[in-house]
Amino acid sequence: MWVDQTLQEGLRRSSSRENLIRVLQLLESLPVRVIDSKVTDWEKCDLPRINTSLKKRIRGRINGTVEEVELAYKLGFEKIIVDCQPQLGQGIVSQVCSALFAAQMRQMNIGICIENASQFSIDEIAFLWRDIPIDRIETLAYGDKDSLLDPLKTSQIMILLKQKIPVPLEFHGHNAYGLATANSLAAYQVGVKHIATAVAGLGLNGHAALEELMMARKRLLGEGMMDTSQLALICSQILSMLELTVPKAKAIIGQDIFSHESGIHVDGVVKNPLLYEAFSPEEVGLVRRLVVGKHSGTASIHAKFRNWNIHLSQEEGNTLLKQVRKLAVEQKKQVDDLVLFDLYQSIKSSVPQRNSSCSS
Amino acid sequence: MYARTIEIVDTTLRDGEQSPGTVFSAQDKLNIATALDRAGVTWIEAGVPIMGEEEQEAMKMILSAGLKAKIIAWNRALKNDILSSVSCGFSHLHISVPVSDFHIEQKLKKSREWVLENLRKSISLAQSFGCTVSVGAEDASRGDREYFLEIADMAAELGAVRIRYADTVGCLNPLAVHSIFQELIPRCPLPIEVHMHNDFGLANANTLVALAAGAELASTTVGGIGERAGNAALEEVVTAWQVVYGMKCHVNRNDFLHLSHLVMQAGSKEVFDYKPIIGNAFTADNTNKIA
Repeated sequence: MWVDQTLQEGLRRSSSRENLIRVLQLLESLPVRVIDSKVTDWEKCDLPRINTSLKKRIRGRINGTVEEVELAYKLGFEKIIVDCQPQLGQGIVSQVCSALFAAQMRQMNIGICIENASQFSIDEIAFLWRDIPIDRIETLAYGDKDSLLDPLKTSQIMILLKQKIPVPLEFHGHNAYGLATANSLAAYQVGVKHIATAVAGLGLNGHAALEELMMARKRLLGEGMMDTSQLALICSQILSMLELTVPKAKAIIGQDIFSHESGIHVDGVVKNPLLYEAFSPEEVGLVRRLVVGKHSGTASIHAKFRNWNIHLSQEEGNTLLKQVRKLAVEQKKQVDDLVLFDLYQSIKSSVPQRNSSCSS
Repeated sequence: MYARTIEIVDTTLRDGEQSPGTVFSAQDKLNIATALDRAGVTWIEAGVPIMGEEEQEAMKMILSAGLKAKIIAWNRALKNDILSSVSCGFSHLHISVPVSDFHIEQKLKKSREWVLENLRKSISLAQSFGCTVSVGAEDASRGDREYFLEIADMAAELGAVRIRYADTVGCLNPLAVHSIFQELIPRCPLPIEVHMHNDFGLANANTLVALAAGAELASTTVGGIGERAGNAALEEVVTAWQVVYGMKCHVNRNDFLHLSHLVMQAGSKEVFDYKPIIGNAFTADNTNKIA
C-alpha cells in the first residue's frame, strides 16, 4: 500500500553503500510493500544485484529509455515503473513507448508514472492512457510534481480518474507547500490504495510522511490496529543512516511531542492525558515528559514533586513557581529536574534559618 | 474567480513559545513582533500576561513599539487573567474557554452552563475596560457543533469580534474539515478564525481547507512551532493560500526566511532540511546543489 521513496532520497544524497543497505533492512520493519529506486542510482551506488527476497519489494524507476530498461533487467529488477512528463497535446513520446515495449519483451511487471499529471485535466489523462502502446500495465501513478493540488481537489480528481482508468491508481504527491500528507490521505480516503511516502517526508520537493499517513489511517480513519510501538525508533534509525536527525517536534516521531510545559496543558494531562494528546506516547514508542519552565503553573510543580514522593505546601508551590519562571527566563530554557530540586532544598533550608535569626 | 483575502493571527509569541523548553526574551519578543508587523501580519497574539512580571515587561515593550498590527493578549475566562492583560495596556483580548464536554467535565469539572456564564462575565469585564474581545473555543473539534454555535451566538450578542475554532489535539483531517466548515460557516454569526494543531502533520492542510470553506482568519506560527508537534506554519499557509488556492493574503512571502531565522535563533531551534518553504532542501540554491 505504501510505496517507499526514502531509499531513493538516500541514493540522491549519495549516502554510503553500507548505510543504504541498512536502510533497506530497516524498511523491512515498516509496512512498505514497494521500495522505489532509480535503476541508474542503484548501479551508481553499487548496490547488490536484486536477489529473490528483494525482487518482490524493489521497484526500479526508469527514466523512459530502452537503455535503462536493459540496465534494470541486467541488475535483476522484476518490477519497474516508467517515469514520463508528457507535454500538453503531444501524447506519450516515442522514446517512452520504446522503453515500454522493451520492458514488455523482458516480461517485467510494468507501471507508468505521469509525473506532471496534475497539470492535465481528467480527459487529457484518459487520452494519455489510451496512448500507451502496450496492454499489460499494472499501475498508473498520478504525480503532482509541482505540488499544485490541495486535498479537496485531490479527492475529486481521484474519484473521477478511478472511473476512467482500468488499473490500480497510485498517488505520488509532493510537499513544496506542506500539503503532501493531506493530499495523499485524501486520495487514500477515496479509494487510492497505493501511495508514495517517505520517512519524515524526505525527497526532492518532499513527499507525504510515512509515519503521518500510518497513524492518520490508524487513528483518524480507525483502520487497522497494527503495532506501531517501534515506529519512532525505526524512523530515527533510518534518518540517522541518511545522516539526518528527526526534528524534536516532528509529528508522530519527534522526541518532544509528548513533553508538556504550559500550565493549562500540564494541569489537563495530569488529570487525563487524552485531554491534550491525540494518542498515547507508548503507541509510537515515545515517552511523556512534564517540563518545568516559563509557562508552568502550580499544577506542574506539584505533579513533579508528587512523582518524587514529596508533598509540597501551597505556599512552597507558589514560591517555587515564581523562582522557576524567573530562572527559565534568565537562562532562556526549561528548568531541569536537578535544578528544581536544588531550588526546593534552598527554600527548605532558608525557612529554619529565618526562624533561628528571629529567635536570636 | 473572485480572490478572497484572509488575515493571519500569528501566535508564534504565545502558542509558539509554549513549545516545551522554549523561552523568548523580552527583546526577542519585540524583535519578532516587529518583523511580523513588517511582513504585513495584521494580528499578533503576543503572550499571556498572567504568567508573571517577565511576560508583562515583554508585553509592554511590544505594545509601546507603535506597530501597525493589533496586539492581542491571551486569557482564560478568569478575572485575574483579564485584569493582568488590561493593566499591561492591552486593548485586544482573546478569551479562551474549552467547549468539548470532555474538556469541560474532565479538566474544569464544570458544566456547559457554567462555561457560558463564566464567559459572559469575562467578556463583559473585558469590555468594561473598553477592550475588543475575541473568543476562543478550545477543543472545538472534539465538541458538539451546536454548543460551539451557542457560544458563538452569545459572544456575537455581547459584541465579540470573532470566534476561534481550535483543533486542540490535531485530530481533524482535511475532508472532515471541509464538511464541518460547510455546515458551520453559514450558521456562525461571527467570523471564524481557525487554529489547527499538527499532531498528524495536517495542520496546514486543515487550516487551508477551512479557509477555502469560508473561515476568514488563520492562526499560525513561524515554522509551525508550538505545543507538541506544533501549529500550522505561517509560511506554508500564506504561500499555499496564494499559490495553490490562488487567493489573497497581504503578508509578504519574501520575509519568511528572515522571520524563520529570527524565531529559530531566539528559541534555540533548528529548521529541518525538509520543512517546506524554509528548509534547506526547499530553498532554490540547495535544491540545485543536491540534485
